[in-house]
Amino acid sequence: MKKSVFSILKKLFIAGRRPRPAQRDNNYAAKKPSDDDSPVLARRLQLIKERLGESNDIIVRKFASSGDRVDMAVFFIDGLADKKMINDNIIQPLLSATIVNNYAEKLTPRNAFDLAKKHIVSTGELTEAPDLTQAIAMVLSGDTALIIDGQQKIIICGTRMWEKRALSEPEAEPAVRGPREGFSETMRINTSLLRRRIKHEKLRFEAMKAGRRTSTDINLVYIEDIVNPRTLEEVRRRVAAIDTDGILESGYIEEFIEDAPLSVFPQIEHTERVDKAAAAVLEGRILIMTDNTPFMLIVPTSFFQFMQASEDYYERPPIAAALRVLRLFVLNFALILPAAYVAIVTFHQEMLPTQLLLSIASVREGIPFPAVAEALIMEFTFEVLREAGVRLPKTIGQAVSIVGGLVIGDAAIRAGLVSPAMVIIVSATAIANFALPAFNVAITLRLLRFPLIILGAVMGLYGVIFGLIIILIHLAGLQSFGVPYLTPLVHGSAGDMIKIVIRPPWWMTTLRPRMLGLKERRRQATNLWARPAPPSERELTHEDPGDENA
Amino acid sequence: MIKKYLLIILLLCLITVTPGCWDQTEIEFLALVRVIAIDYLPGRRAPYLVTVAIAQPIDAGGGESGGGQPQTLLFSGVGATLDLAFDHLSYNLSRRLFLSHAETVIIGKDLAEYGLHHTLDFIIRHNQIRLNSFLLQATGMAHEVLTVPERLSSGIADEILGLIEEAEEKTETVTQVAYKFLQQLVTPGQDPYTAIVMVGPPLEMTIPELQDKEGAEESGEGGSSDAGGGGSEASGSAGTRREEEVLTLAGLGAFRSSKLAGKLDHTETRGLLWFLGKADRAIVAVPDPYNPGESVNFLTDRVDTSIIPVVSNGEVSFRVEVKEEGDIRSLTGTLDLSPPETIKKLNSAKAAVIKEEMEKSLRKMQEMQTDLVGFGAILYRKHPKTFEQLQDRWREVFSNLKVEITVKSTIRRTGHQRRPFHPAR
Repeated sequence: MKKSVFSILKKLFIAGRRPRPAQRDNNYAAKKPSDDDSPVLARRLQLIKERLGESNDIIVRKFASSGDRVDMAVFFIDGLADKKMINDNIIQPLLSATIVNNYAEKLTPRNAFDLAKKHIVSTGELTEAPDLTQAIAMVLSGDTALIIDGQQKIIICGTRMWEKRALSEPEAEPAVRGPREGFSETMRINTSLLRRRIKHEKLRFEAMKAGRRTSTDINLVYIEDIVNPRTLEEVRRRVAAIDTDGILESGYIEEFIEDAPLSVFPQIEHTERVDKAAAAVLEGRILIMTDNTPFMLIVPTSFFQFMQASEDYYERPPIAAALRVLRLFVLNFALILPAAYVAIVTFHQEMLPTQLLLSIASVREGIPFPAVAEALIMEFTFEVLREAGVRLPKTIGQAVSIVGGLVIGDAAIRAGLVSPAMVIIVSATAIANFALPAFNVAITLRLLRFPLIILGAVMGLYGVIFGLIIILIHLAGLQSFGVPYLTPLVHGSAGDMIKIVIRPPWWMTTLRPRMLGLKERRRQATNLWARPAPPSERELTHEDPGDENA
Repeated sequence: MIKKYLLIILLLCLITVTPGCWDQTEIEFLALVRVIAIDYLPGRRAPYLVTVAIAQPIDAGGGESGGGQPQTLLFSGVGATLDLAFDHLSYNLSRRLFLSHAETVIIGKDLAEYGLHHTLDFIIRHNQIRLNSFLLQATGMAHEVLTVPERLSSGIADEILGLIEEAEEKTETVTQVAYKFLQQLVTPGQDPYTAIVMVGPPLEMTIPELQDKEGAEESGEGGSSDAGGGGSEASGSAGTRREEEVLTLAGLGAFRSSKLAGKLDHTETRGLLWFLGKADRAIVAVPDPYNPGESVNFLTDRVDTSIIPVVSNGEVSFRVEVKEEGDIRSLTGTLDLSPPETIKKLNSAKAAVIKEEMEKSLRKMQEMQTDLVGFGAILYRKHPKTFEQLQDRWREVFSNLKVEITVKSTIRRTGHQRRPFHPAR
């Protein structure tokens, strides 16, 4: 009985590690009638009309080679394909080449396909589709289909081109130092951004698709001779198992593939910083790129990754170390400060220095609510204000924070509804929360603060510690793609463990994290302590060495 | 399965709710006791008189910055035991008595003479009173100490605490926290002591030359003020009288077991401090060995005392070695400090002064038969068997103990001036 209670508790706190088995509907693709496809152009165009309907962005342009010998049609989506390219590189050559290069005679329905492919169509990217279904899929991605009458195969020209947002600074993750360009919504641009940073032949972009209706492109990015093949296999398996109608953001994928889907803690890090993504790939992690979103997922993820900012790696190591320690403090503040305040003020008055107790008591004098109610009211108000500030346009958001923070806060104190001490606590907590580099962890802590406040109000610090232990048990039970969530605090090597608080200089960072189980752990030569040696002062003097000899 | 989970979540919620919030008290419903004064009224059926100084936080409502200084209120109660006295006292309180912040416990002289056993037991057992609160002994009623108006600090509790903190920097007395006192009490071959708090006229009132001027000023101010903070026992007439009184921490109350045996005065206290190696802020005025009538003033910097028990033929004696280092603060005469012999001579002169102080203190302790230094405890550590034989009559042995004191003084610095200046003629 005891054991079963324990196992249930375990299951409760340590959520399931395996995602649900793949339920891919294999018949889904087969259901589409592809057998009614026919090489006859007219029939095909009719089929296209049937299948795509009357949408006005679908362009089908019919034309014929000179002498009406071969009927052809290009088929593309307006807005997704580069019209100029289609004109210059597909239609124009086909029409003019037939005249200039004397293909007019040679071009017959029989050889039109090969000739067009080999000699006439001049787009850089050119593939072929075996049937209409695949051709439609490609066209919907922005390619152009060249359908030749009488040919079963369809030529697909790469003409993807649409309005793109210019590269901009990653707004969610600003850094004082570091590259200013962030990922954008277009997959191709994103891959190029990464390729520009890692010009190595082993960098791999592995294409996958997910979403029945959106058929969103997904790229797994990794460096082949570093990455742990089993992790990679697991990522592939989980991404392939996604069966949903639409993927609109990488958040969808995150939920589909994470280990404990009901946990409040994010188990997959995301970033829109290219440098951060490149660093993760170089570290042997796998980047999951999703089309149409600038947020890339990084797996496996450990909790302490959320405590690091990219500046840690660009600024001086001692400062980075100080900042990391600061963030660990901030993490605790953001989580337990209000709860600890409520607990101490209502249960453990003896723990406060006398003068502080007197100050708190004098500001609490005449406040109608108990400390816990005060804390909950203030936290709640603050959450509402923050939510309002986020949702409103930037210009109005400022007004909200002024009205909410200053006016309401001040009025509440003046009216004697809340004590100034509580306002200090709540705002200190909020600032601590803002100081965390990762937004997804910050909102988790915001949520966990409330149960902790209640525990603190009911059982004092005992309750707070109780809550923290539950959180810790939960954290210790989490995994991210086979890597314990608290890595490197658990299972880590000493070298990895120390990186929680310090960031070693780059010339000392010789190994990649151990727990990733990489093919290649070494980053650089073994000379751990070989500091970069500047030339001696003598070498630097600008005197002519000839003078000395003379 | 889901039902099971729900049940467990429900149970977990119940865990948080069922124990309830019994221990929960909002901070503003507490009566924060800052000082506890305990007196013994001999000849009464309810001899224990307890007075507490409660800090009353001033309502800071209305958003005033500062919040005002907390006011101190006095409440008293009597009872046959301390528990009854505290209970009696709480009849007057509209808030819950909270003793965790009682930084000072003051013992009245009568109580000290009657014995502290019950008081100490109350302090140890109480779940709120801290063992690291300071224990002071009043020369009269402990209650009286609390009625003295504060001078520099914002309340009587802060005044007392300030005196205690400042006493650490001086050699007038040694302040002790309750658990140190208890430690000394239960250590075999050691007697406890507490600092003495005296109520008396301010020092400037004891200087006859100042008397007239001061008196004029006092009458000009008009003695009416809210002295005593409206304490229940402080009458109006007492308030004006108290205006002229202040607190002084000076001297030590020497206890034999848990009963007061006597008192060490200023010099005797410092003598004890040399034994304990704690007199490291002592100002020593040494007669100038070259110019009679002049003196050299020293400030001690460092003291290291070692007490070595010597047992020979069943006879116990002690060797006390004091190593003292100090700086010269000032001279009254024009002594030239540059020759090394002068320094040597000054060293031995200072050593002699210190030795005399120590001997005087030891004589007093032997007279009272209170082993405040803990010679017995030191003997017990080094020669446990010998001490065990003597344990039962240790006080008697102590009163006739031979203690050989050697003091080695060193002058570290002579201040910013090396040679004395001679006024021009």
